[in-house]
Amino acid sequence: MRQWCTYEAAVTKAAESGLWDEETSCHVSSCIHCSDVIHAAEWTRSLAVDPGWPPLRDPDVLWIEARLLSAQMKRDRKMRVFALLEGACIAILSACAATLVLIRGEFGGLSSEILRWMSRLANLGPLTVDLISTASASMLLVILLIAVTFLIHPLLLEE
Amino acid sequence: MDQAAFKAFYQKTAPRLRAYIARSCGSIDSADDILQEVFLKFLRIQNKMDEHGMRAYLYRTADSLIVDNWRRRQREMAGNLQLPLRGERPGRDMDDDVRILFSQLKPQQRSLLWLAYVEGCDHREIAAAAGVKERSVRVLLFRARKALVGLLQRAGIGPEVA
Repeated sequence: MRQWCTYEAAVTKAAESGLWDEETSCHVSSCIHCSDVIHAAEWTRSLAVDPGWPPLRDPDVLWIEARLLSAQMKRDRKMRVFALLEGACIAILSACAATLVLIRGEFGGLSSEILRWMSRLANLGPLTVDLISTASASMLLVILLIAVTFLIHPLLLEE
Repeated sequence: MDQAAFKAFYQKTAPRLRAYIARSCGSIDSADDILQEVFLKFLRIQNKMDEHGMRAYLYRTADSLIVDNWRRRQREMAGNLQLPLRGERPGRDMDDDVRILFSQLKPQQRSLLWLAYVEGCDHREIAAAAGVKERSVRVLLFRARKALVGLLQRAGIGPEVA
């Protein structure tokens, strides 16, 4: 059996509209292919008839829900940045605290190693020299990190 | 797309799309959930698509969510050790014979027949919505039609065989 018929489009259209011209209806009676088209089309179309289902959901509610979801996604994305920032602050503060413990403790070898690394950093340029050599700048950085962490934390908790 | 345009588009497309989903997954409650998800996704990504493109997107998304829903239900049933996968009771639902007949077609065949005969799409639109090549549509549609007519004949509601 061939897989197509030149009348197929006309038959599909006529079956949909119910308007049959003489030529098409004559053809259908002698073409198995087109008779299958009509049968399949009618049966499939009968499935689209609502058999008494509950009414559709309100499009206005869907619209509002989509807006809310979109806003929530934007906020989530921003919150992710804050969470990362908080994580970074905590990590840096932990590193600072660990360094302090090492310097204050009896771990002379390790602390001198760290100091050596810092002096290498200091050699990179005048700005780093100032930052690293000035204790007040380091303190300021630590305070800033603590402040940022304390500011972000309640924000994340609220979310 | 503004709210009024969306409302008009929804009212035009949702009833048939919902019927398609309901006939495919066999439950009007699941169909309503899937329909809602389809439109929420549509509203999230909507860009400058024409109406045919939007309709194709809706059907593609619906097909993928129907498959997800089917997998989820199978997992749940396997978890609950409920054996009759095919003969499950879908709750307050549609005529079983029709549902079973339609569910016996392959998902792609259901989609092709629906797009061709309910939505009245041409081959280009069907290709876009079903994710197949345009020149394959004629053959695939022919096979889908033969499969459906075969099922209908076996169920005793097909055309008389010559």
